[in-house]
Amino acid sequence: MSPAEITILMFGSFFILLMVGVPLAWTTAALGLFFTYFLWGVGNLNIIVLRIYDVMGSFSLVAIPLFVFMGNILQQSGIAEDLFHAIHVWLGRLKGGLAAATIVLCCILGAMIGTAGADITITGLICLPFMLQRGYDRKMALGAIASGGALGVLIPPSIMFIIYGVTTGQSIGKLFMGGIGPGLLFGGLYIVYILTKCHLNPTAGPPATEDERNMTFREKLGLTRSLLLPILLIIAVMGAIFFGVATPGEASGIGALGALVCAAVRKTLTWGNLKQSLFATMKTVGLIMWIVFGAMVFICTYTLAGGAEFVRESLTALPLGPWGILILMQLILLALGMVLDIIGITVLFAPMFVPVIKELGFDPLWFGVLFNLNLQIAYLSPPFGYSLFYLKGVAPSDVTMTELYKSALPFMLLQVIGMIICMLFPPVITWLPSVMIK
Amino acid sequence: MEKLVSAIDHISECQGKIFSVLLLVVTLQVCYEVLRRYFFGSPTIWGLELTEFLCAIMYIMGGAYASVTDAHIKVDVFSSLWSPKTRALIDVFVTDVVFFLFCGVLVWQSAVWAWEAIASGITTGSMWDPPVWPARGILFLGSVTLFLQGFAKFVRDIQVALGKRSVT
Amino acid sequence: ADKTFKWRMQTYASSGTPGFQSQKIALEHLKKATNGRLDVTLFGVGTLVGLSEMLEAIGKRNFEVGHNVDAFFAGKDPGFAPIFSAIGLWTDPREVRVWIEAFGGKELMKKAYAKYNVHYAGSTLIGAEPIMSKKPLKTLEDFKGLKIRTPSGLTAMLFEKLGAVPVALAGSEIYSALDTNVIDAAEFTTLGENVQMGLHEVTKYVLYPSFHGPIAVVNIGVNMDAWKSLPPDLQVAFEMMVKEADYLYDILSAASDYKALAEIKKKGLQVDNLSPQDMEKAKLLSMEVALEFAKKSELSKEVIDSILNFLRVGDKIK
Ligand code: NA
Ligand code: NA
Repeated sequence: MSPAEITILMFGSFFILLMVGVPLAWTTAALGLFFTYFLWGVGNLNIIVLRIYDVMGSFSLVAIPLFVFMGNILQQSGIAEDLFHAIHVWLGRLKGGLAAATIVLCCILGAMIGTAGADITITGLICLPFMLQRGYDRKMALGAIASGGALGVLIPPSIMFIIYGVTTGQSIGKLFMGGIGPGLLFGGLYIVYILTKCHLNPTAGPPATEDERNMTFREKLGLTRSLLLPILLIIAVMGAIFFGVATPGEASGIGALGALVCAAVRKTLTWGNLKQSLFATMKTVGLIMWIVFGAMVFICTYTLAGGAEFVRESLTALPLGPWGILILMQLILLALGMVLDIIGITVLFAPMFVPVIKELGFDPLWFGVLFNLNLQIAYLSPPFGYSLFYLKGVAPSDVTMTELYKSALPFMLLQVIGMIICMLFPPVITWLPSVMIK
Repeated sequence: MEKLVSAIDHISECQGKIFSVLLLVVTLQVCYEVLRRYFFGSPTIWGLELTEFLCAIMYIMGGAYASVTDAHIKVDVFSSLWSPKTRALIDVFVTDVVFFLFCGVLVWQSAVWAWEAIASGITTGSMWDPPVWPARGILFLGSVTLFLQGFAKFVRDIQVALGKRSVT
Repeated sequence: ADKTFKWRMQTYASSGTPGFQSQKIALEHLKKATNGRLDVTLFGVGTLVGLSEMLEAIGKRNFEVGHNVDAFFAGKDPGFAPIFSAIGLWTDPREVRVWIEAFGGKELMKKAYAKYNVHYAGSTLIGAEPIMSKKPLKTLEDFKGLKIRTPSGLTAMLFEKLGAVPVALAGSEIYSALDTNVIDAAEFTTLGENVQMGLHEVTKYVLYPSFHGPIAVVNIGVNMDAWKSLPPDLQVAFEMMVKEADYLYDILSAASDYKALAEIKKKGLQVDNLSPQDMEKAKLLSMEVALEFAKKSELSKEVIDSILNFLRVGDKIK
């Protein structure tokens, strides 16, 4: 069977099974095994244990459970809530200030949390009721949370960068650094949009109430104190990586311990909170890792059948020039982002795209960050916007998916603009890693 | 049957909750390793591998736990439009078949593999050089509980499809 | 007779390195020389299975050919470690080739591989490994307390004898581990590949060449059934391909080493050598370690005895 036929059969059945509602992890693993059997017989089914065992023993992936754990503790212990109140006091007097504060909160949370799901749940729980109470336009409030929450993937630590780094052999430390510039750029774009929109149309986002604005300086300072612990935690984690104490994997352990300490200091490290954090983490780890396991089996079978080579040859043979191919890849990622989950996209497609990118002479680090920028859009795009699913879980019950998609639309446009900026001005991505890591 | 199915659910729940304690162990162990190396210049020879092994246990054991809590990611754009009965029918004939195909092979292969490790005494070959059977054994154990969880779901899907169980 | 064979091969090397390039060129030549009858697709490290699982994957024919770092199989049998690197006992790649071809090396490897349903089809040698370090390494004394990355148990034992602290890290983690002072020094393939990985960006000193195992033996294994199904002319062609890959690797890696040396000197790194006395001392320590390691398994004893015997015949050791 030719690689082209294999490609059609494997990906065709993949999408069909996915649409029927088979979990992603089972789909990829089963298809990988089915085609292995079909092409090479029963003797090669050991591929599943070989692949899973390889993933099990990867030191870089150790960061995933620990960063997720850290995020869950911060959520359970109420530290995130403190943060929001502090930021809100300072930004509240602006029209749209609460929504802007939400984005700022997302950036700070992003620097402590590795998954977008946790970010969105937290901000959804804390910021959404607040904004709705103060008469914010629902679309504005929902859009700000969904897009802001996805920023957690760009701002280090980020589980997506860890998975990308492990899959493609890029330095995770450099990817982390590379995500900061675009993360701030995206956050900045969102804030500019929110403030402009609310300035022009104050009903979209009214300023804080008289009482809140007339808080004494002492009270404000008191609230600001609650910023201290989280910021120390961020410095501890990022500092550990960049001042030579720990690898990114180990920094996740420091972060988790730090989060436990923060919760203890805040006196919210109760048995109940700890239990919730442990259980929620275990669930997330299970679902992430089994997606990776399944995708590894699928992609290994596809590669052995000559598929990856076929993709590489077909892409480089296109008469589009390097930039044309790069843009085509981005469009493919956008399309995939509509239906596929972003971990699946990374594990399945990064190994096929990165060799082409290297061959075309692009910087693979830059592409790695671009890849993840693209996944930001995937987070919001219908029918499968994972950001929106998380948000739906914590939003008032009368919020429909359609409303969520509509509210995400302006932010998706901003993401596209941000991505074009990063493509045209690579230093947005590459400057920080080149300065921080020589 | 009902008893069996809820017993399986219970096992998956407990497995996830019990092994989640490893998060605390790994957190402390990683910090201990950093402390020893950075401040005392004496890293252990076992730290790295032990961390990997403990995390591997969580990855594997998280499988059935994520299943019983229905956390595994899937596309339900279309399936959410179907009636519970149709959904269950399609699950019986597609989702569960796909699952058993993958998980059956996994149980079988990991059993062979774990047995090989026990029989031949293979080690990791690193400086610490622990045996590999615990890691391979965990993979087998986790595959079995995942398989059982899938079986419980299969039984329920059949019951729903036959109208003998209502979906809550 | 005109049946075509399409095989797949995973190498230990990552794409873009001399290890990968030399193999790729040799495989292209093989395809042309056999008029397309033997066509082997090459995959880089990590694309198919992990390095430790390669022997198993070849044996079960998940893919037909593996370009193996045998040190990763030491858990299956410790004897694979000295096959890969006999630490400081070797001083010159030519020595190793003579041992393999004329003094029983080949037969031992064939025997070791056959147990896993794999045919040993030849070796490619990695020569002259450096140690890249954040601390100056001018004498063996300087290794006291040094946190040094090394993957294999044999090398680790040698470093421990010098009072160093061996740290096990995957190749992909060396850069950030050095950058973050998780380790002080690392041994990892050739100077050229070290520089390609950017290790010179995060270190100040280079011990080159080093004493710890200047020559490593990377073996090519073929699934036994696949090998047997090959007509004799293609078997010969394949074995010639391995020799060409070895030759090309020698040249490509030397070329990249020259460039790398110039680059690290330009960047201001200090390049040191050990004194002849220290090199001799390292050799004696290596022998001590080897004799200890020989006790670990039958294969280990056979390999080490065979190497020591060869070196005695050549009057290289007493
Ligand atoms: Na983050
Ligand atoms: Na989407």
